[in-house]
Amino acid sequence: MRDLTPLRDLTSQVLPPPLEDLDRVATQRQRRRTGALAFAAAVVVVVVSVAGAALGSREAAPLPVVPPPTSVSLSPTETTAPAEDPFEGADVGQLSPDEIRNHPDAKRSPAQEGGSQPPKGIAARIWSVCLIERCDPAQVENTTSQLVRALEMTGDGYLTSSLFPLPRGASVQYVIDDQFLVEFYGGDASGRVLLDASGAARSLSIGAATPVTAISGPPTWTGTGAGVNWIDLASSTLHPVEGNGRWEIEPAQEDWYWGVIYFAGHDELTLSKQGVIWRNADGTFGVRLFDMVFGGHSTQMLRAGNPGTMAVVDQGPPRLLHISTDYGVTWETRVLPRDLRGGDGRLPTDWRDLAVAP
Amino acid sequence: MAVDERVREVYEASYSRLVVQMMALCGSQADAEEAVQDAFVQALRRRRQFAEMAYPEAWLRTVALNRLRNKWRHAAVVRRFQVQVPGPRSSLELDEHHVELIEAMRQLDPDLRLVIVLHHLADRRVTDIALELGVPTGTIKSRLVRARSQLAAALGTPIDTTEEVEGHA
Repeated sequence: MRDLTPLRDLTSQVLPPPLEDLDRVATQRQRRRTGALAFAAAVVVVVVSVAGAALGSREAAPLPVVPPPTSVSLSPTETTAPAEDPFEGADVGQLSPDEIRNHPDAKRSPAQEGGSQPPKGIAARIWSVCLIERCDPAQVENTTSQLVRALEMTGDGYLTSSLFPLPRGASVQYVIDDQFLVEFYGGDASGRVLLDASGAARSLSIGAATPVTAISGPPTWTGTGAGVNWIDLASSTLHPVEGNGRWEIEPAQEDWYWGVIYFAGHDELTLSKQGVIWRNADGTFGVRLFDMVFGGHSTQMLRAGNPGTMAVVDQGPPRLLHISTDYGVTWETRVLPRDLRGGDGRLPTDWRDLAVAP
Repeated sequence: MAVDERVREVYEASYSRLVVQMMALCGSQADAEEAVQDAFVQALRRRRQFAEMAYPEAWLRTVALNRLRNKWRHAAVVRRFQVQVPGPRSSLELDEHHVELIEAMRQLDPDLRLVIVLHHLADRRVTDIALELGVPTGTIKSRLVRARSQLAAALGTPIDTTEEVEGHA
């Protein structure tokens, strides 16, 4: 069938990444998996008295009394009041964050892998100290009696920074501005804490699921199985989005927050709903779903570089450009010719010359 | 041959081919490359077994295909917890024929899209596709006929009748 030949010819253009890069990913994934399995086993066998013995001569401070762990419900329909200590009940180890960072054996690593990337200057990193003779990350990643960790966050490229304890089983995710979300699922305690680089911390409770169009705070992904969630900053509540975890968000990675939001179709290869999510100049959020002809495939975002301007291409046919230049107050649709692809991901400067869609 | 050499050999021979096949299925170079890279990551995690496979490219294609199918359902959790693959190194230069073909492929049902890619891009015989998908040979033939018909209609070209459905040896 000669008609597919042009696709076959694309093979010569594909540039594989070095195999070593994939090997590195394979190793890191294996380490995480092994660490998680080791943690699950450790939950069963850890005896507190062993921790003291294991510290040996390398401990930097006397052991504090560790409060008994508490449980936080993960049910998306229940609401739990935020605790005064955002990490209350979490296993944060025997050293303070300062002691961890200043420890002569402290090691530094990036705080998050994948997901949204923060703007320049905003960053988070993890300091860790092994409290036994040798820590094998594959075995003790989540065991704070052996490996303690602290999270350092900055909003100015580490000219100044804030330190937080990082509980056992915690993961870190960039949210928005200089805020990161820490989720921990260690032992008998679990929870989620929103931190900002200035040092503020607040625990988030779980609220009721909302329709996607009701999102009015920064979206996140969580491990609760609910997929996309959003944070109501006024009430410190994390709301799942209705739809059994099949909503997904792709930020545009511009200097202001906007992105596409879409819902997976039942065939798992196509999308059944798509739209745009953005943050207004006053900090509130907006969502607009499009009535699209797209045939189930993902839209393309075109960056304009102007706060308030969002442009997405519905691949059609016909190809349509949905655009707003006023933070989603008004929208218009233009017909995008096939030869105008926006391949560099930028909105053509002469887009106003395009025909208005009927 | 050493295990790592075998993986590298398959990588160099199959990566680009698999990316084009996955791209024909999903319409996105980024999604296609991530799916294929994920498949190779899985291969690297079990490199000994992979090195002993008789048809490693078929195994990689199945893994990549599953990755595409599961992309939307598990994307949030995966993105959240899993170390990410690097993705594409450069964008493909698509001309109007490529865009036209990809858009025409999008109009096919997923089942039809899959058989046409396996047969006409991956060069799999009907009997092999039937085995791979666990579907009777007749069903594959029927799907190929429908797929070619729909594709021709989408492209606005006459149906190519010069080739038998079993055309690939």
